[in-house]
Amino acid sequence: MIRLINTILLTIFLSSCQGKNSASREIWIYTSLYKDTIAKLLPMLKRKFPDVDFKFYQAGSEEIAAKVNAEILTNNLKADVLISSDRFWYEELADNKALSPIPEDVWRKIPNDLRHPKKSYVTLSLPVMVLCYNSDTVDKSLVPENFKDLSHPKYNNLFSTGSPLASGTNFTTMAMLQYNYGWDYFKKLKLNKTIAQGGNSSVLRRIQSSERPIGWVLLENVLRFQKKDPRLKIIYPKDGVVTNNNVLALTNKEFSHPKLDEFVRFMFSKNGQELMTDSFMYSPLQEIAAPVGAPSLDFILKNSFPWSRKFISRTTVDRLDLKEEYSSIMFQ
Amino acid sequence: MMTLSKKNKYSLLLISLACFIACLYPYIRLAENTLSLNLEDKGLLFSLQRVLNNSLTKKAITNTFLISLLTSVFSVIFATPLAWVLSRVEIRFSKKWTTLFSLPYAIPPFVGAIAWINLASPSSGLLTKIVGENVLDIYSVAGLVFVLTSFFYTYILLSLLGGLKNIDSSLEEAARLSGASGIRVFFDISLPLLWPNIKSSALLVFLASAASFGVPALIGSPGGIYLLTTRIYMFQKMGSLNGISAASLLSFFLIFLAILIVTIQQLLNKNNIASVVQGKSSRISKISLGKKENFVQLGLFLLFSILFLMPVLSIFASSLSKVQGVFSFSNLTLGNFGHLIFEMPEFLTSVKNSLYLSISVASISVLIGLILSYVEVRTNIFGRSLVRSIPTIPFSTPGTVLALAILLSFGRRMGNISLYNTLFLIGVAYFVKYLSFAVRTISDGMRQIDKSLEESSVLCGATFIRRLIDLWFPILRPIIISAWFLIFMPCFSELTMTILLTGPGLETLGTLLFQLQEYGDSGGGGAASLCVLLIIFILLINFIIKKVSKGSYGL
Repeated sequence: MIRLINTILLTIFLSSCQGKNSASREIWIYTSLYKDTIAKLLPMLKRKFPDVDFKFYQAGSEEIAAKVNAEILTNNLKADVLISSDRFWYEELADNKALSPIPEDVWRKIPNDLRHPKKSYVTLSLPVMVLCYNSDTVDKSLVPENFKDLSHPKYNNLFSTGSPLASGTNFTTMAMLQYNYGWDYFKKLKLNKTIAQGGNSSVLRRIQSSERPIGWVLLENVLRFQKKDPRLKIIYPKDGVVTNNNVLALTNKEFSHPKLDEFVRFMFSKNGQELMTDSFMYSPLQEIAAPVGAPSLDFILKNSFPWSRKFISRTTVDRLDLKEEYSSIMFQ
Repeated sequence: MMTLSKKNKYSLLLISLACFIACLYPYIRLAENTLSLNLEDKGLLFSLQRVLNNSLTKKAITNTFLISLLTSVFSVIFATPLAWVLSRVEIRFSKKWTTLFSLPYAIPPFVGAIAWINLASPSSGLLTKIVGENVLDIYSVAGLVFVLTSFFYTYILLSLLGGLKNIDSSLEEAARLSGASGIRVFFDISLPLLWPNIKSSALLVFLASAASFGVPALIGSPGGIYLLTTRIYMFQKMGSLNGISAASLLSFFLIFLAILIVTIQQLLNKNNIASVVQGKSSRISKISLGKKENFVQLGLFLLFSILFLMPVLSIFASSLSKVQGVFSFSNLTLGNFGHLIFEMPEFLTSVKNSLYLSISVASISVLIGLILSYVEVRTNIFGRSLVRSIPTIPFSTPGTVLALAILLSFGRRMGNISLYNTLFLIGVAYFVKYLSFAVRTISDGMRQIDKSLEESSVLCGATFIRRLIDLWFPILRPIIISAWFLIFMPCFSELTMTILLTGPGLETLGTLLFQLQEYGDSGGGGAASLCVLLIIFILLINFIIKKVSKGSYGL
């Protein structure tokens, strides 16, 4: 009897755990890139690297951060490549020596303020947080001009954002607005019954369905849908858009795949970068044009909240406290 | 009691012991992890105080009690008269109505949450557009209780329908012959007799509500209503070791709650068992309503429409919309299904994983359940009664807590072996959670079979394995099939445990649906399309079970 049970359990166990042979061909990419971007990237990678099996785990940036932290804690790190939008978490990983260096030639191509000084990460693309509204349901008098406007009581029940506990771009935006406007701003958003839930996709869905017809959301999400849904209107806030860094890093694993550097080079090649702009994100490389329907990168950089080393260091150190404080205000 | 060879006896002992360890070890690790909580390097006491004094935590505890209590009360208020009407009033299609009102039992509640967001979100829901703004708000305590009730009332309905079958209807008939009205008979005769079933199933609804994750995450969180399960999820997503320890600490509240409820339930069953079963009359006498029956039919139709039809139709509408929130023929498309099935690689992976997990876990649980039941019912092994009570502990533990405990117990790398990020670990969680279903169902069946059958086979020289294959399997086949489906169905669309254990390549239908709804699906049609496919699959399975079992099993 026990032999029968053992055989069944062993069969299940072996078939549900990954074999070493397949693992040696695999490169695991944990990313917050959208599923349709991954769907376009995958065939390109298959053509370029026929002998590598690329596997993707897609989730919100903060979900990925939580997952990777847990994997590191339990000595089970599976990810080879990380691509997500919480730059502060990458700073933390770099401080903890959990990242391998980016190839020198790629690192040199990236502007100084978009890369880690010790080559731990580079910015793959620049998602931009803007405001968006549904022109069918938002009266012209209610169209906000900047982020600050949304704390006004007239935006009661009209506004939504993603959750900084789930999405890296929402965390960055929260951190930037808190740095500039303080917690009072968020207390007022809470009084306006702002929904802060899920990622940017759920914010866009709330705008489309008019559940919350105004939201802060990534420019790429709106541009993807504007043709299909012309009711979606973009506002470039006068107090500044929030530029995010979609960061690429390599994890520091005992066994690192020999093709990892080549993969990084591909992502910063013309093809790789054009895929980012096809997905409506800006490229950090000057020679790559802005996404279709989007203003130039110069315009965005001139009209964005400034990033400073002080802001990066403070947010990196206080990352968990910021999340706790935000939760205690917004999730009450 | 059967006499077993030493080898067989040790084998059975070993299997039982392995199951005990799988069921109990996670709790030890959970306690250990809680004790390692060390916020700001100020030690355990400070950390405990900090977590428990946090206003969000306090509110989550209060909310959990309040919402679970309200859901139980409303489920009783709704299900009790419904069960009585379906069982005691002469209405056409009563069997069909019973099936239809039982359907929400098989559908995962988070599918209902997605549907009710479409219908009753404060400014854009389909119903909101009809009744006007500021009337309906699904993101409220009332909304949360309503959606939970619209699923969990089935626990009470099914229990009461069973109870009503066992009550001697001549008692009610005698009251009616003495001149009591139908309503008076219901309140004075049926209700007191059903009271033990009501109390016991209401406690089950309380526990299920406190343990639920999908509905509170999708409906409660946007409205700022956090329950213990969503607070635990939030702590885990903070991404720090202390976050995981704080989550472990909160888990103990749910464990204590589960122990309390199960203990009360057992006490109630002990005290009331004699009054429930009064013998069975040969024919259930039903109340004839004459022309008034049409009103009852209309009432049932309206109730069913609100509870099931409307939400399901709203999901269908959403799955067929090019752009969410626009209602026109030109906006209709099948593209969402095409995109989901053909362009999203995770869809096939999730179907494969869900089928793989649910089939293998159901099969192993039933096999192990058969062996454990044998130990309990047919052997004199010391401590045999534990095989029934120990699997009840994880079954009564909320999924979020169990998943966390299993992650802490079996997630760490042991030498070259790591179960973290494997389907095996998710399978272990499902197995531990649902083993109790198999043990209870099969051992109840085994008790009804006379021991002389097995004694004859032993006298004929049949080995233990031969007896299992040739005697127990055929005799218990209907019960084994029933236990298999009881485990297969919840595993197929499980979300609560899987969301904490999932990883790359491990998507299941439950987690894919949650991801689509929350993060990865900008168009919004993907989540609705997946809900539709899930509902169709569940209804299809139910139909097959009913056909195959000739109406004995299924809803």
